[in-house]
Amino acid sequence: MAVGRVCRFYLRSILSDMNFWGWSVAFLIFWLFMGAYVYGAGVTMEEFIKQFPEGTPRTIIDEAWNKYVLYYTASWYGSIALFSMSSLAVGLIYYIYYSTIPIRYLIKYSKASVSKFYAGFTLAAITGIMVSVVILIATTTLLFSYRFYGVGLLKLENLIVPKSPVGVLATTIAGGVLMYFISSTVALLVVVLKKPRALGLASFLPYVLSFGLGMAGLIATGGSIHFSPFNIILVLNYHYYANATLVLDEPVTLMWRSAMEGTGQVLEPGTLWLALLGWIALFALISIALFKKQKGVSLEQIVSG
Amino acid sequence: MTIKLVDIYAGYRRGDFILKGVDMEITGDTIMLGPNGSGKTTLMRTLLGISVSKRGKIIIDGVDIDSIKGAPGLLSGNLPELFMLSRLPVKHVAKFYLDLIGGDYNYFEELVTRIGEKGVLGKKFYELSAGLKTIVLDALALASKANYVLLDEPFESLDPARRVAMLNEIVESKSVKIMSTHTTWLLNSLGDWSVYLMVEGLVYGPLKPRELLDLKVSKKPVGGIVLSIKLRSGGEVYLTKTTGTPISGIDSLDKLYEVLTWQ
Repeated sequence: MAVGRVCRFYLRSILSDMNFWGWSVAFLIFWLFMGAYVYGAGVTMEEFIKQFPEGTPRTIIDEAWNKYVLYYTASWYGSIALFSMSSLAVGLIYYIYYSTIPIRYLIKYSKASVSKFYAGFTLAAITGIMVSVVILIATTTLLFSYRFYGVGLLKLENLIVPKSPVGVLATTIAGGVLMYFISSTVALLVVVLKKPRALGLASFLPYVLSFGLGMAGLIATGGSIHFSPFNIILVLNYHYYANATLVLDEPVTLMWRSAMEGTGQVLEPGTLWLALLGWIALFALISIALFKKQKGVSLEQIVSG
Repeated sequence: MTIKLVDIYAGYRRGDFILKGVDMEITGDTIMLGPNGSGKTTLMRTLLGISVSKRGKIIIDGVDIDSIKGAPGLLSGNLPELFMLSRLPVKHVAKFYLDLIGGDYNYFEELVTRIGEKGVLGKKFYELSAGLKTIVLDALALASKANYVLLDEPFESLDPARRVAMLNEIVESKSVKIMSTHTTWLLNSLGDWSVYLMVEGLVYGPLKPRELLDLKVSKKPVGGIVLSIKLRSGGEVYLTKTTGTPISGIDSLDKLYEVLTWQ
């Protein structure tokens, strides 16, 4: 029962936090709009059709167009979902940092044990991420479908919805768990190092890394970058949103072309899942070790340094 | 019902312990009286398990504090550090907290609206005035209905009427209260409590409030010395029955050092 209580409390805290709605939802809806209408301004059927030899049957062009806009939309969703998770991580770092003091009291004089407390906290983080992801999927679907098909051509079968909702859901849950443990590692590291003044700077670490690595893997480079803890979330979301083939050596936005041409080494989602579970296990172990270590840090060194 | 502290070294700031070998035994309602910075809050934090003790032992009802786990209703306090960082209104934070520690939310609500204001429950903690924050924290500690309730400066920033109302509430509570303060005005109202003096990380006592109010502070080792207090500077202060500045005339122990300077 304590797990449920802790989860409800933190979920309520997250959902009533304007930073969550501002940075994890509204700001990213703005970027989805940019993706559909500014960066995607040149993605039109008129331009697309020019790539085909004259006389190509319209059904073939339409089918290719449908695939192309699906991949384009999926690459935007993949990166936006990652940025939403990492912006929530900024808030989680603060919550975890400041919970280290009351948790010392609560494990002694309340019904909550350490495991129950952090299980509830993790559940709240995952649920918070699910809320933002559901809103972002709905926005992506409506915005990009309208952008590429317009009202006149917009039919139910043309809605750019995730091809594998279960895959997107699984990636979101696993991504939420990973973000929680990354946040926990950063927050507890600040406690153990007794550097409370570094909290502000450290809290942006997941956000900065997800932007840097995410953008690099999205448009600039392929290879081992796709195995970074942040890029895995992006790549898996892209895969499940579009049912797209993943190509190791290409950045996400160019994977569809390599896949069509049959060039490049195919990257199996199972391999990415193994890497993701490995990252979760690694950050969870580091968090547990740091949690044990922080018990010896005096409160005065956490609060004021 | 006893809390026993044996040679406690705890709290760490700028390379030095804040508590430096505290020995005391709490068997009933107790006042920790001392100037600001004497270590009263650190002592409370250590009892609550949020500050680390590096040496010594704390035994609560026969159990070592290090082995206490999952004991709701044993000990609570009014320190803001005990509560989770949250932007939620006071009522949600209080419900969550009191639910976990097995407290009485209805009593909390009644107390906060009676001594504080009706609108307090719907406000966020950081939006409250200093006085209302004190009332909320005191009410949370009292509403825990724990065996031991630790109250750190429970009258800070309260106006006189609310101070008296809160004092009555504290006195009527069935818990064993351990209250820290630097003010002496309440000693007359708490005649049957024990008083420990706390100065520069060390504890002296116990005394009864009446005994303490009859004592005088002196820099010199005159006759009738009841307590001698060691200072960081290497000197000593004496509480005597005969000569010096009457403690009853010092409204706040923060003025202890000023009194010594004047002498």
